[in-house]
Amino acid sequence: MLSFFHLRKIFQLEKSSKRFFTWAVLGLAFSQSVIVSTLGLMNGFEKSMKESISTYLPEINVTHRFSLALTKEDLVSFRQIAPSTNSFLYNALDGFLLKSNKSSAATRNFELPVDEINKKFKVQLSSPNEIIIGRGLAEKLRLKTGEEVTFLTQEDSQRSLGFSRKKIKKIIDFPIFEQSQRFVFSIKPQDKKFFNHIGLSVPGVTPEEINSLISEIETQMDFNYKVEPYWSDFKFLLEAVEVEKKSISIILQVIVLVAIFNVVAFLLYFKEVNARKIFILSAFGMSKKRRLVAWRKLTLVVWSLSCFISIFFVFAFDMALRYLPIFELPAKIYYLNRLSIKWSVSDFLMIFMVSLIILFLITSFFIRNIEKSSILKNLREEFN
Amino acid sequence: MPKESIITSDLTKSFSNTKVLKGINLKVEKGEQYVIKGASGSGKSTLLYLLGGLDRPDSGVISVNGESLNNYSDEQLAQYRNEKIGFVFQFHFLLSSMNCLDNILLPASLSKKYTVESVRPFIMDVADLLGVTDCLEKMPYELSGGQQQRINLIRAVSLKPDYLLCDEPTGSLDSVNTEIVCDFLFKLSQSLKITLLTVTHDRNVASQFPYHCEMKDGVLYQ
Repeated sequence: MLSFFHLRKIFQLEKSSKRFFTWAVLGLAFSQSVIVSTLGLMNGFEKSMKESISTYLPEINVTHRFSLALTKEDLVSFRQIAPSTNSFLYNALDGFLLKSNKSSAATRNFELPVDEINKKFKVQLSSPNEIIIGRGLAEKLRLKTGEEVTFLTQEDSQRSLGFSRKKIKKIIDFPIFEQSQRFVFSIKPQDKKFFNHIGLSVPGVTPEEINSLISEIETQMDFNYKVEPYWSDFKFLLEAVEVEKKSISIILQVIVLVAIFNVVAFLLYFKEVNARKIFILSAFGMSKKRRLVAWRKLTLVVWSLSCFISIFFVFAFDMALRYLPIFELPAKIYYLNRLSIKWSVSDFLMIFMVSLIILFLITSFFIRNIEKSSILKNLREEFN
Repeated sequence: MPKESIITSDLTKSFSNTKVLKGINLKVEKGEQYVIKGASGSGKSTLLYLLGGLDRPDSGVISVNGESLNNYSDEQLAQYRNEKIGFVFQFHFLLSSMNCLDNILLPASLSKKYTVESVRPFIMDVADLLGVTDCLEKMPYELSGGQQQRINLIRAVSLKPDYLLCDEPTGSLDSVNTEIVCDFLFKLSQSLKITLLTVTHDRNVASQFPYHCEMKDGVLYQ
């Protein structure tokens, strides 16, 4: 039987076919790698975003569905449900910072346990009147470390407002611009009995592990509680990224389509160049079915090589994103100035399989047309 | 009527709007040598290729060894070409990427009936008969025109076909090589009992055949 290597020997590519073949393969490889890289880039954005959000906040947050207040009893019950986590009560309250009559900003104030503050911010706060603010807020209101400012915040769970004077202990760089503009951290007052959040701290776990931990907690807890991951405030943005990922991968299939037409052009050129060889093989007993199989094998070779090369392209893009200055993110919206491609095997498989299906569908049409015309007619055209 | 023969009745074939064959009735008997003469474009090559199962007629019947080719599937037709037919073309069509032996073994490598190893001894015998044993390991471009055509002949008979269909086998050769190739064609036909059907416009070549047919504007005169 005529093996693939035998066919390869018969249809040895001459110079022009080699060039055409190379560009067809590279074109398909490039188009596939663009899609994988784009998906990987969005995965990378999502991952960087989640990592950035989690830097100063507990990984899992619990609130009450019907009440604004959570007590020590609630905390005790959660410690039983999730003993492996470091859990604590804290407050996340909306507030207003006033420097002067003309200089103010809305804030989100977090009152955390002192050991959490010390661990995460590497600073010793001695009283609830000392605060940590972001560089965005400091620059906006021209605030400095050691400066005193006035705060208008909720004093307790009854939403009563109160003024207080607080001293800026530290100015830090939050990874997310919104946090940098709004977030204010302080230690929670000893005498406070009511809080609006329970924080469950599980550092070093992946978002997937957090999701599964939440599911586990939800099966054991009371319906009155609501458990959310740390990225829930940004969930619409992250959902948007997911939707964009799907739409972009569909839109980018157009590039694959163009590359596939390039492959079709190569197949047609290959057929023209090798008309005599095809005729000879047919004359010696190669059936239409076996010729179709041979065309399929050639298409498969183009696809396999392009898949292989596209993996290298993706790695090259990733390196470029990591190290070339031109790929630094110019925007200040997120302080994620370096993105990387976070690809998964399933991304590659999905893109490769979709391109294989499209490639087979389109080339089938052209190959059938090639094989439909009679060998004799082709040969007459060849010699005329 | 002998069973091992080719019989055609009212065979027609057109390409685009040109009617190339206009109702061909031909009878070829087993083991004989036939020549089809005719001017260029008269349809003789088309007839040869139809008999060889390379294409299907528009109408009419081709019966080979008592079976109608019209009823054959593509796969059966390919098997028929491989096992029953040997083709010799004007241009040797030797593949430049393979040596002569590999070129000769090409039909065997496509065969379901034979293996490359099983036909090798026979090929060596025929190569010896035609005096090209030392050419087998060479590349086609290293051989003269006459040698190439002899390799082409060995390839055509490598699977011991029933019919050897030759399309202007000496068309690209000088008079010396023409004589050699004709001599070999008859030698092979007689020693292997192969029915020889040759298409040519060369009167000298045609004169060596015992049975003559003439093609004129798609009509065959036997």
